[in-house]
Amino acid sequence: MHCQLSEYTEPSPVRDKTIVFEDGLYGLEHIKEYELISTGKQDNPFRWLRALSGEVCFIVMDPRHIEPDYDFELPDDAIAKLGATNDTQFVVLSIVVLPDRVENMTINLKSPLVINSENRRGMQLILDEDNYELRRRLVRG
Amino acid sequence: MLVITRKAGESVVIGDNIEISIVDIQRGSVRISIDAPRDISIFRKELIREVAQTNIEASKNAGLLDLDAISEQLRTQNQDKQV
Repeated sequence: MHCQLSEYTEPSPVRDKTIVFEDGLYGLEHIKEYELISTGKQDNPFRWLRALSGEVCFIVMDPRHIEPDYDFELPDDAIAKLGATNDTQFVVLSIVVLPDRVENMTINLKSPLVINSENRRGMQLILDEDNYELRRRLVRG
Repeated sequence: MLVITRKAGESVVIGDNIEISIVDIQRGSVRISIDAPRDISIFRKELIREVAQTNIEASKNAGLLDLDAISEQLRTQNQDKQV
């Protein structure tokens, strides 16, 4: 498995600073360093989350793009792990799965990625809330 | 690994502040209650497995996709559904 960014990112993919997931992501615990990459097109809600090693990458998006009221309480252990304070701003991202066609795309609202914007530490949560699905369809049924 | 037998109403204590009690046993299912500090995460194991599977599935080919085209297709499809 290797993540090579496609030709489509040309001419100017926009790279962000390194994000460290100390515990990795579920199933990929050994990969800790990622970067966020935009296509450069302003109104595109999708971005890549790419391992610095190039080993894997994901398509991610702000879950509020799909679920405007998306909200959860950050557990105490997550606050500690992310080194957050009262003023910390977080970036919340959901991973998208594109199995074959766009109609079948799903977004993972159950286990979002939370990133501390200041120290760039991130982690993947699993939410207790029952109303957020692991595979929520992106195309309305 | 420790394997012990407990009856309904009995419990085990782990460390100073985790207690797992057997509430009920019926037809092959055991109902347990877990008393633990808030900073201890408790998940059904199959949920963690499902999240891991979803992550791995999501990571396949993601880098080769044209995100601008996908974004456009998604917008078109959702517009069609609204009409």
